[in-house]
Amino acid sequence: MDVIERSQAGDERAFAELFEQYKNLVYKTAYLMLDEPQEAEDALQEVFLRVHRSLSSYQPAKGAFTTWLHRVTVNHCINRTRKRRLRLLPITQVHPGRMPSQPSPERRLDDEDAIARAMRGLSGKLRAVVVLRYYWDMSYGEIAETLGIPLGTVKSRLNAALRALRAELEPPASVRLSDRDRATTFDSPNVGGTSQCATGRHEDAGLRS
Amino acid sequence: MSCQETTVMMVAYLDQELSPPERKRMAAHLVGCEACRRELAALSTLQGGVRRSLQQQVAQAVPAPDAWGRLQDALAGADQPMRPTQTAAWPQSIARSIGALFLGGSLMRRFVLVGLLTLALVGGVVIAVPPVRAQVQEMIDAWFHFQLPGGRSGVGIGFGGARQAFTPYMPAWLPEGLDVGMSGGTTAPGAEYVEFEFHPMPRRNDDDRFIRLIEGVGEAVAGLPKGREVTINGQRAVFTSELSERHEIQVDPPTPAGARLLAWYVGEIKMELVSNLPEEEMIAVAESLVPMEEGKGE
Repeated sequence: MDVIERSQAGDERAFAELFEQYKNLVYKTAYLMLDEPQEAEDALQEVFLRVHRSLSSYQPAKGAFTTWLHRVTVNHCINRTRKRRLRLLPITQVHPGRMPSQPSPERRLDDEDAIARAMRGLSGKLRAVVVLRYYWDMSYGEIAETLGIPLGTVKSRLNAALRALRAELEPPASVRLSDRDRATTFDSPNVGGTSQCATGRHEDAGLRS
Repeated sequence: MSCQETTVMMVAYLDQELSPPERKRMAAHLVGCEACRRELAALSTLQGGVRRSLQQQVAQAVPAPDAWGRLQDALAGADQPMRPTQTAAWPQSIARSIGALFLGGSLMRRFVLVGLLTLALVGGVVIAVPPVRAQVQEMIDAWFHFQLPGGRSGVGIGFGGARQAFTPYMPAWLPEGLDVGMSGGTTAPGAEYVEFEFHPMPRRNDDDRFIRLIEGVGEAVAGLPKGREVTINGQRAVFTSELSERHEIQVDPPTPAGARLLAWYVGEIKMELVSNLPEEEMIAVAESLVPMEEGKGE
């Protein structure tokens, strides 16, 4: 029996081995999805708690363990980014709209630091495909299997993600992604529309609302 | 192939993920289109930058040395370690709230209001422990009192500043077995919300019955969605199964399948009740809403 089978059988020592073997996979993915070391630490704990509870549902015949683990991790991180979007703040600490940032002139398409900053504006779903493709070197097919989405969706999300990053790093004169808070007014005839409309628009641009 | 079609496929082209016929057509277009070649070169540069950036971000990133010890503690705290449920998340969330109250720091902003109401309901822990009580008093300067079925009273809800946006409402009736699990204030551009989630405590399964009640004011919440019309206490209300991300359950997702939204107004407050309960129960909960009573602490 391998370490996964023994863990599934309730062997706690095997689960410790499993944690040791896969903790970096979970931690690094969470770090890239959530930005902050503390968030990644929390995600590591919560993902392995979930793995511990639901390991019995993993079926080797349906795919590799790493695919399953990536799915659990990425879904957890996407949910965390959603919660962060609706973060629980005392109401008076929050302004009605975020101040748009000014694009720095030094931003370039090969500037790793600028890219890291630009990635923070991507929605969880777009960020997930970027991390799986360009950090873990997964094929589109593997990403589709990991996330449980069609191949065409992987293509369109990666395209949207790269386009969003490019627009942020090399903003055209008329449209900058950092202007997202103003987007609802400049590209919408429905000024002051519902937040649902605004959210959809931001999702189209690949950005967190 | 047009420039527009080419543009859509460029990332997949660079990733070697196009079919041979697609690749051939694209290559043929690129031969004769300088603008697309420039665009392709820019995207290729960006892809390289993204790869290096991701590698750089986690080059030194490793879990804390005590990560396994913490996990062991968390596992030891669970009732039955291998059960396929989500019960461990609730104590963890509540523990975080307590920790945040004592310690402050980055967790506070995100979690301090989660579970706070729960704590007040579960046993008055927050208001009974002096150091916690002091911190809560500081955070919560707008106190509201309410009654839940069974005679239990709740207290809490902080707007965290000198001003409160509105007086929240709370159901006076809940289906048997549902309890208040989360409360908090959130904001979005053009709107301020107070949110509550009700479900069995602890939440056991992803498909447990739940209610998510969002009360919002502001221009961004103007208007009701399209859907089947009903009335709530004589006011026009709408049922729809079209949900947005804002309606998704916030603690221990995913949102159970079959959830619907019931939206209506109580004065200037837009009420959005998302639930997988039968419609008649959703209406009964909606019709039971009563304003909380503002007080001066517990």
